[in-house]
Amino acid sequence: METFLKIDDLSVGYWTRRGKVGALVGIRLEMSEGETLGIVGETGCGKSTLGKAILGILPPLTEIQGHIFFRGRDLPRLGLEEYRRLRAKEIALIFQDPMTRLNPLMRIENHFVEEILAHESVSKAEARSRAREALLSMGIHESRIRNYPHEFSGGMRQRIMIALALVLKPSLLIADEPTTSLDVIVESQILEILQDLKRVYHMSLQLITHNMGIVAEICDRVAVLYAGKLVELGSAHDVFHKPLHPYTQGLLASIIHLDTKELHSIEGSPPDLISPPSGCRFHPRCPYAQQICVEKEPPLVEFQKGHLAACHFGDTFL
Amino acid sequence: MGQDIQQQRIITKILGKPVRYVRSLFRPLVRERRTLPGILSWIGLVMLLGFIFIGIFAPVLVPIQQTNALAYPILLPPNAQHWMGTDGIGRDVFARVIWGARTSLTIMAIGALLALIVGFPIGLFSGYVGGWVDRALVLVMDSVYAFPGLLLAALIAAVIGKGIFNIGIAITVIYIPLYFRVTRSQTLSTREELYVEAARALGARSWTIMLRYIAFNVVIVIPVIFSLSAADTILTAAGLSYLGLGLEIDVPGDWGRDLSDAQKYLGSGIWWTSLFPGLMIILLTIGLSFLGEGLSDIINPLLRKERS
Repeated sequence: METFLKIDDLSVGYWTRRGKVGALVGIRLEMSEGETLGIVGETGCGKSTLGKAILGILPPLTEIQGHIFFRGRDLPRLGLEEYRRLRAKEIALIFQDPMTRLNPLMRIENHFVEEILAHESVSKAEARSRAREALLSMGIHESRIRNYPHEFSGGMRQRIMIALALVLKPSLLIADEPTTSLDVIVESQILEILQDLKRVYHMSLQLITHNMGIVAEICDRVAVLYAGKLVELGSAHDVFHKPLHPYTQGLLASIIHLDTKELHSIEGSPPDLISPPSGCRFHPRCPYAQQICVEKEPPLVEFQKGHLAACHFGDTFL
Repeated sequence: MGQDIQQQRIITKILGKPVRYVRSLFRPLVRERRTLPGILSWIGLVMLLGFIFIGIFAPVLVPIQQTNALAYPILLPPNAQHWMGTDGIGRDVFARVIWGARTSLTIMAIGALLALIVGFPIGLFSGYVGGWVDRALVLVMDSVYAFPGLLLAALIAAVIGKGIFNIGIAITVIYIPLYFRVTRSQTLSTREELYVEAARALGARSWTIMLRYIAFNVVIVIPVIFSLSAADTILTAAGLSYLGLGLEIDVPGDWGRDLSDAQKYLGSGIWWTSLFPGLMIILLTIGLSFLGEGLSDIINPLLRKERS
C-alpha cells in the first residue's frame, strides 16, 4: 500500500537581504490515513511553513528541496494546474486568525460557490445547496448565507473557514493554529467539531499548534519542531510521558496547571535561522549541553519503537 | 405580470454590481456630509454636475451660431445682451464659455477614462505578477512619468494631429502612469492580504484571485485619482490649446484657445475675453479637486480601518 503522506528530507528556505533563512531543514515525517498528527514548537520554528509547503502556497522565490509524497504524487514537482486542483479537494488548510481570511467584499455564499465551481463542474444551484448544507453542519443558519464576512463573529468566521475547507471533503486537513485567536469556549467548540469530523469522514488531521493541552487531547502522534528541524517524533502518550529531547521537556515543563506555583520557561529565545548554532541547534539553551552538542549535529534516532529524537543523550532520558 | 417580474430580476442582476458599487461609494459620502472632507466632496460633486449639465444642454442654452466668428460687433464690453461681452472676432464670450464646457468635459472623459482603462489593468497585472515583468513595467511607466507632462502631450499632439479625440489620447499617455502606480501599489498591499492566501489555499484560479479578490479591493481608490487626474486633464488640455496644439479652429468652444487669443487685448484694458474662460478653467478644476481631495480623505481612513 502506498503511504498516505510521506515527507522526505524536506528543506524550505526563504531568501532575505541578509541571506537564506532555513525555515525547515531535512524534515522526514510520515502520516497514515485517518491519523491525527500534532506539530508543536515555538513561534518561528517552521510549523506554519510546513503546512504551507504541503499545500504549495509558499511565497514565490521560496526554495523548496526534497519530496512530499501524497498518495504517490510528489507534490513539489506537480504542475501548477494539477496542484491547484488538489487544494481543498484533497488537502485543505484552516488558518489561524479567521478575522482576515474571508474576502470582505464577497458574500459568504459566493466564497463557497466560487470554490466548488473551481473544482467541480456542477450547476450554480447545486453549489449553493451544498454551501447551505456545509454551513448548517457547522451550526450557521442558512438565512445568513448571503451576509458579508464582517457580519460574523470570530468564532463564526472560523466555522465558516472550516466549512469552506471541508465542503469538498478532502482526505487531509491541515489546521494551522485554528483556535489561537479565539476564546476558550469557542476553542473547545472548534476542537470538538474537528474531532467529530475525523470520526465521520475518517479524515487525517495535521494539527499545528503551540498548545500542548490540545495535542494531548486529540492527537495520536506528535512531531516537535525546533528551529526548523524535527527534534522529536512519537506517539502522544510516549512524548508526554517520556520526552526524550530536552526541548520537549522544556515545553512540557512550561505548561501552566492549576497547581502551578512557579512558572518554568526555556531560557533564551529561538536562534536566528540565517546563521543557526553549530551542532545541535538547541545547545545554547539546553541545560544538559556538552562539548559534543556544539560540535556534532545529533541524528534523529529511534530510541524506542516509533519514538524518535535528535539528541546525543536521548537514551539517558529513557 | 410574471414576465415583468422576470424582467425586473434580469435587470437587477445585470445592474446589481455597478449599482452596489456606486451605493457603497455614496454611503460614506452621505455619512460624512457634515465633516470638512464631506462638505468639500459635496461642493465638488455639485460643481461637477453643474458643468456636466451645462455641457450636455449647451445647444439648448445658447444657439451655436453665437459662437461663430463675426456673429456680432467685436470687443463689446459685457452688457445686457452679451453678458460676458464679445471677443476680438465678434463671438459671444458667454456662448463660447458654455460650449467650452462641452469640449473640456469631452476631452476630460476621453483622457481620464482611457488612462483608467489602460492604466488600471496594467497596474493590477504588474503588481500581481511581480518579478521582472513588474520591474520592466515600472521602469517604462516611471520614465513616462518623469517626462514633463505638458511637453509630452504637446509632442504627441504634434505627431498625431489636432482634434478632440487626438488631444484626449495625447493626454491619456500622461496619466496612464498615474493610474498604473496607484493601482500597482494598492495591488501590492492587497496581494499580501490573508484572504488572498486563503483563496489560494482553497484552490482558486489565478484569474479569480486577481479579479475577485484583488481588483475589487483595489478599485476603491480609483474615484480619488479619477477626480484628481480629471482636474489635471482640464489644465493640460487648456495648456495645449493655449500653445496652439489643441483643437481645430472651428470647435465651438475652447477655453484654452480663447484665453490664448484674448492675451493680445489684455494690454488695452479688455479683460472680459480672458477673465471668463480662465474663470471656467479654475472653477472646473477646483470642483474636481475638491471632489478628489474630499473623497481621498473619506476613503483612505476607511481603507486603513478595514485593514487594521
